[in-house]
Amino acid sequence: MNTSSTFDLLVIFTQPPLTASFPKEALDLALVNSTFEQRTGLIFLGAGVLQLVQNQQPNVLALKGTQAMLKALALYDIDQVFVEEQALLDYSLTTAALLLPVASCNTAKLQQFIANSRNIITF
Amino acid sequence: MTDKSFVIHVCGGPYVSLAPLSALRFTKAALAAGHTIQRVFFYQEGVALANALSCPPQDEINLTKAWQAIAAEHQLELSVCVAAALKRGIVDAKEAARFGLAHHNLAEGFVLTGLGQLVDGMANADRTVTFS
Repeated sequence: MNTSSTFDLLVIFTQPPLTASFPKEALDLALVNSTFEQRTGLIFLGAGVLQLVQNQQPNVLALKGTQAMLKALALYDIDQVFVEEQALLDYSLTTAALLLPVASCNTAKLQQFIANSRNIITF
Repeated sequence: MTDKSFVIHVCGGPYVSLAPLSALRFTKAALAAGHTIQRVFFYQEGVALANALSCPPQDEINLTKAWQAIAAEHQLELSVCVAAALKRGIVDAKEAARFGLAHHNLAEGFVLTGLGQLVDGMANADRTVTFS
């Protein structure tokens, strides 16, 4: 394992909520990765930030959604969660309006995380 | 150049993406260059590669058979995420029995495993390359 990298796995979320199985399968991977004591970071880019909007009602569409899983991230020791600053602006959101604690990052900071991660998988 | 070990992570499905074919070509090129393929992991729509019942026209490449052939030739592990596979209708005999299904269709040479196999691969291989 390369200890010089920030994350063993960086999972990047780019799809809006309820987009097929992308959000769920991305979270499954992040959770398993953390269970194996691998350092895990999450980045929500573009429309991906919409996955973090509070009070969604996926049950109206007979869907399960991922809000419960997202709220459980801390239980899996995943607390490195970042959102793209520009995406918050694009969707008129603030970090306070999201359903879990996240850090808003500019493009340069996100590039740094990507450059310093051992593995990156984008969903 | 020092030889490297790779995990090949196939997320894209056949016919909806070029991912399975690109992954196959990358795998062949890596092996030809003397590198090691530690594991091939099929996730998301990529699990469709493990469907033994797919019958493409005879003048088109059969990607399932192509993966089986390269795996047999180089003793590659073809791991398929069990959760992703089950919900997409890819089952082995054991899962078919567990769910009371009349049939199973996991192609020979593929094995249903957990995401832990991908995580283990990423932790130990030099590079993980995702095809989606």
